[in-house]
Amino acid sequence: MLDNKKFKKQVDIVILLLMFWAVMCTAMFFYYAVIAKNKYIKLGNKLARRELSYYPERSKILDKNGIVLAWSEKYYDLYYNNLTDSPGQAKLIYKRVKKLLPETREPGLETVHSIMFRALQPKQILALEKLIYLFPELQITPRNERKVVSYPGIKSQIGQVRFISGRLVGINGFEKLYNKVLNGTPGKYRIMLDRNKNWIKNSGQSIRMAVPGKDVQLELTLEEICKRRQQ
Amino acid sequence: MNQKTLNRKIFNTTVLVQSLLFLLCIWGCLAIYNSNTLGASPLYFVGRQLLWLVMSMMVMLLAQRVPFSFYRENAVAGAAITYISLLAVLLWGTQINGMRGWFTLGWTSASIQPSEFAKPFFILLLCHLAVSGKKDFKTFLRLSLTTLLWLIPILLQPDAGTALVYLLTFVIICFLVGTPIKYLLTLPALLTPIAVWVLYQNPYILKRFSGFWDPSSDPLGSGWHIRQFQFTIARGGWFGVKMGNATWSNSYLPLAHSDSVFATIAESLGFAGTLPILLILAAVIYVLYRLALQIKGQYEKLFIIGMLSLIAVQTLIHISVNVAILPPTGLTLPLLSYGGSSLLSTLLAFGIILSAVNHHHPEEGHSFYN
Repeated sequence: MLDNKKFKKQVDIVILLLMFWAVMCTAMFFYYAVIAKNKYIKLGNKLARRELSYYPERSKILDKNGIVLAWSEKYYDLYYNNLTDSPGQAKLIYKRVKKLLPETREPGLETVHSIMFRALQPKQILALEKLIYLFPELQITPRNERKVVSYPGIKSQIGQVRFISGRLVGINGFEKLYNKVLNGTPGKYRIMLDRNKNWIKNSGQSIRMAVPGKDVQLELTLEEICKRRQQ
Repeated sequence: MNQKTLNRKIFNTTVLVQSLLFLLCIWGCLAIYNSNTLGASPLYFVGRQLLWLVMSMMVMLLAQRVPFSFYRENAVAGAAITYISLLAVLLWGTQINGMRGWFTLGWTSASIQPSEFAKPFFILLLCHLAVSGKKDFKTFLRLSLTTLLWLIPILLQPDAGTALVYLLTFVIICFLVGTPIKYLLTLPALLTPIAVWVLYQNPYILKRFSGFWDPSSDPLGSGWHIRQFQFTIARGGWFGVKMGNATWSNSYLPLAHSDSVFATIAESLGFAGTLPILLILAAVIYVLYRLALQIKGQYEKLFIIGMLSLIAVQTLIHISVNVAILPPTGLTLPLLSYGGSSLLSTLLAFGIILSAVNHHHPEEGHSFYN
């Protein structure tokens, strides 16, 4: 049997203890939300936010008649990042990807990044979305390729490009001469990364928009450029 | 206090409690929506929660109309059925987030968690054992063994957070019924081997402790969750970020709509906006505590206070984890977190509490509904 007076006293003690606990929680809540707010926001941003540059597509080079001599094409490749060094995990991922992309290559464990599939189609990218969420080892990377019109001798006159710090840079020929005009100005944006360094969906925030380069129209025709080379 | 005054008081309290509970649940739905605004389907969880809310409110209204004597007479049977479900879930349950604690209903995509439904029946059983026995070591032993038996299937899931809630409520009930302190002091000795066994079986718990102790030593590993709670609450500040703009909760918090819902609310509404929610919850618990003390029936009184203590303890553990004063453990915030089982069992518990309040008169056993 419960003694009513004693019971009331015990209940008061329980309420007091619970209230003490609640006050402690509130104090800590106040500390993080108000007192140490700036410190933790800074720490969080340092851990999660990254500022990245993005480059507009390199513009075209045209001849006097408007024939496109050089242009850029964008492709998306599927890579396997060896995060765990586990052959079992690599095999499992390979099996799951192969179901969607039968021509996929088995990832090697010798390198950190190994290519599994080149030039993904938009439909294939959408189909891979769930696997990329499930396996942080998988990564889709964009790749820009510079193409030149197929005409004898034109390639050496137009020039070559090379990837330097994530963007295409002309190293000789017209590509080098008009490099700045063709490339434009890179943009800047801020993203948030998860604990596996993957971008968090919808977390991108633009800081500066990229300004696309301008198409360069030469004062020579395709034939004249090739003739000039022969001379 | 005369009969009429008491009846009016009970009626007013019942209506007030029901309204506040509904308000808190709606607040919870907003928090759940807010934690998923950047996801692929922001309405998925909140839609389901609203369905559970309608069902749970009906269950509460129904449960409070059933005479409390029914619960009292069937306490052992109810506890036995829920205990069987706790055992069955270990064999046929579905594993979610590393825990085998749910039954999936085949024809729907819904899951039910027996350890949530077991809460009111566990309290009913403890009250039954405590009230019917003497204040001797035998009664204490009976209560302890019952709790231990109850905890075994929960620890095997493994669900350390829920086990802790049950354990603390057991200690409170023992204390309330006047168990001598010397008996309660034997508990640590009894519990140490169990704690060692649990730690041995689940080494992740130790990792959580090390991450909790020094989150900066492994910010991307064991310290990750603690750090994210701190960052999320800090982002909320005084008045919170705008509704639908809780980027941190959406992106970093583990189970932002259930186990981390307090931090989600804190990010959206800030300190000033979150405190009223907690005060309302505290007010509901306090009002019922006080009302329980006016009831003569010992069993009813003990049940109301035991059940409210369980809800208060669960709330405080959830908040303590979210404000980083306890290591991370998966526990919902009653009424506010996503989870049909949690919502239904909490409102069922409130229904039984209201039944105990309404169907018991201090002098003559008068029922408010008679």
